[in-house]
Amino acid sequence: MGRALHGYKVKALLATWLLLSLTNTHQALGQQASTGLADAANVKAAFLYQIANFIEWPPGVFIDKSSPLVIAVHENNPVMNALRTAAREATAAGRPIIVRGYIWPDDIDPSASIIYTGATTGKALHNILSLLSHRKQISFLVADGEEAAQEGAMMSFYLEDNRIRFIINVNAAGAAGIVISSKLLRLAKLAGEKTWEK
Amino acid sequence: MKAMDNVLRRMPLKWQLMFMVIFSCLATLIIAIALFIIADLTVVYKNLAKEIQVNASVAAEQSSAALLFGDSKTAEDIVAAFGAEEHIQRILVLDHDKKLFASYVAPNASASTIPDFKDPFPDLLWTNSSHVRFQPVVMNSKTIGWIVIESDLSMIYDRYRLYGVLSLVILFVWAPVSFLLAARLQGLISEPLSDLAKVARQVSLQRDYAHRALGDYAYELGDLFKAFNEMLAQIQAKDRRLEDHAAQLEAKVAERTRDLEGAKERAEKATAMKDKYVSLVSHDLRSPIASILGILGLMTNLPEIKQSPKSTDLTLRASNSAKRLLRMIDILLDIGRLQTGRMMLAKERIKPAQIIDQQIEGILALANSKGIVLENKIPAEMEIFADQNLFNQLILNLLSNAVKFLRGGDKVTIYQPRDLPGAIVVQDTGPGVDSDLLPHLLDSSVKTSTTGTSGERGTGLGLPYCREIIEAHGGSIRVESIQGQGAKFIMEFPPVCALILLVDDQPAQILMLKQILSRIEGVDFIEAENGKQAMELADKFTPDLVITDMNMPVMNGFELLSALKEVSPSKKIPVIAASSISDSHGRSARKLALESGALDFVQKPVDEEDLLRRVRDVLKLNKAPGAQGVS
Repeated sequence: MGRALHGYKVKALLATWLLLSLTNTHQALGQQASTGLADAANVKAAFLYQIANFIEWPPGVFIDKSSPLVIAVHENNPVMNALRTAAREATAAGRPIIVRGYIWPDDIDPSASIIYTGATTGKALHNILSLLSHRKQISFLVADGEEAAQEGAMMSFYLEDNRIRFIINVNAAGAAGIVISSKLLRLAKLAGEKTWEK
Repeated sequence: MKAMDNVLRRMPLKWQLMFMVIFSCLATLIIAIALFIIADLTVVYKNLAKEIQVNASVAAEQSSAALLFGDSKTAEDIVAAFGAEEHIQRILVLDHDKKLFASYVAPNASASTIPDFKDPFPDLLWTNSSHVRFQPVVMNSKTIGWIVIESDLSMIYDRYRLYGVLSLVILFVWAPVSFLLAARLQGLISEPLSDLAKVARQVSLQRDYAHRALGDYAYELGDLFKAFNEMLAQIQAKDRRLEDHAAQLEAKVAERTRDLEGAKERAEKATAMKDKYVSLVSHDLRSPIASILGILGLMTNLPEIKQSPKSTDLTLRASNSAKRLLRMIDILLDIGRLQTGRMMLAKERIKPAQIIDQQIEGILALANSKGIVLENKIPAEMEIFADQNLFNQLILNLLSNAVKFLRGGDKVTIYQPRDLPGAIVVQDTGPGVDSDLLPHLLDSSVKTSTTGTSGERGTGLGLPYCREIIEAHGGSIRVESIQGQGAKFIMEFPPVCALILLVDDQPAQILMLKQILSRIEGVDFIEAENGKQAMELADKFTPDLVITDMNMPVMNGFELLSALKEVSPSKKIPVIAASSISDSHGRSARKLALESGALDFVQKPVDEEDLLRRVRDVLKLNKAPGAQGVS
């Protein structure tokens, strides 16, 4: 699994470098018409820190307005590198971005406000959710796949018509005290209550 | 503006005032409406700009997430929501690089007025038909895209329509109100003035200054009415005084006229008596003298009366005295008649040279016996206008006078002086006239008779008689003499430029024509009352011009015209026809007269200047001095 990921990672890095050298993040977002693997990583990386513009954490999550936004990403996920690259220049809601990698859920930085787990469902997701519920820090949990959001992730990416879109579980976020801007919700598919779908 | 003033001035005061009120109201109203519209439009434009700005801001805010997450479909949904506003034509969402990201175009949208947004663009843009606003989409103080909203100006056009409708409504409401107001207000000024004008008209038409303008007004109108009435009162008073004066004057004139008429009557009576007396006396004097002469003749000639040389001499002397007495009476009668103007002069064109020759011939024997030479140097062609008999008398008197006082070897010359072409001079080389006598020589009231060189005895009335004759012709005579060097009698006759034959059966017409034509210097007239008489006179005098009426008894103007053309000398006499008939049987009298041979035509009643001009034209007397000053 590590080797397979390694090859994937190299390709992704190469593609990201190429892409960033030609365009900037906004362009990556604006032009996500045909999404390859490397593009997908870039788009997701951009989405991750842009989300901060439309999310309101409960008070006390950040010390002050200039406190950095810590994003924890699974080390093996191609988004990790894309995000690291983007974080050098970008800010999220005026905050500097710090990217932390992890392998095991226990390694997740306790100060992370956004956690991206990649394609995680079922028991693995449940473990992370249970871990987080015991933590003091309130984190916005993002995963991949439509099921993840149904199973408790606050937000998850999925592919539709070759475009990366996202589904938001308003109840999960609400339970954690996180308020999501209607502007973001408008772009998203909603999970949770049946009546919200469609 | 000036044209409007002129039109207004020609209107009655009432309408002028109404127009003034209505126009003033209208001007005020228009200015008020215009100001209102300007103020309102400013607000409307501002509101439109504000509304578009708000819409743009909201759209920018709403679409920021869509831009960030590249969700153009959602962006389109968002901006489409703003399309509910009818005036919004299109909304464009541009990304950070000004590339079109999403858009909304209203159904039936007009052509886009959005400039090429690759260029730097302003925040807002007004065109003739639209308002465009560029609104940046900002996220964390970074511009992540643009919203471009284009709105048409239908909102503003709607407003214009509203103004139009409102203005019309206001005008429709205002028009009758202002008309009623103006009609009511103008009366305040125009009614008193039209009352005043009415009174003024009545006064001027009826010439009755007893009228007064009635009305109780204050200030200017009051002053005007008061002044007008006072003026009328003054005129009325003056008029009354004038009437009184006139009546007095009339009475005075009537009185004077009566006096004068009486005096005239008395004078006429006296003159008539004097004439009667003179003619009686002269006749009565002439008869016994004639008897004496007859008896004296018998005494000389009857064979049974024995004559001694002494008695023959006495008889002859008695006879001569009687003859002189008879002649004196004749001259006195003539002088009297000439002085009173009762002698009618039969003036005509005569040639003095011929008459003088005849007179010289008559006196030649006497002159020869005394050794006196008589010479006539008057040119044969010289003409004067005079009564031939009186002219004979004149020359005879002057010649006899000369012969009487001259001695043998003296000479009498009769000539026309070079510097006075109309004059005749009788000059002699005799003893001249005594300087004491000279001033009274021609005066009939002072007896100057002296005995001639051969003991001739004159009446002492010869020279005064000459003077009367010449003056009766409108001329003059004067004497120049140096004692011992002869005497010079200079007679001037008025120049005769033209003889005009006036033909009319109405004496008043002839009198009037004469009065008018006398303004031409040197004209003389002969008169006829019909064509027949005119023919005789024309034949005898050959006038320079005939002015004839057309409608006369015996022989009318047309017949006269053709008769004149038949005879040789009268053929060339120009004729001016005068008629009161303007046309006869559809042909103009002028045309008929000219066709019959008239040179010109004047319409009766004659226009004075026109007649003078035509007569002068015919006589070629344009330079006559009478033409100046009068015309």
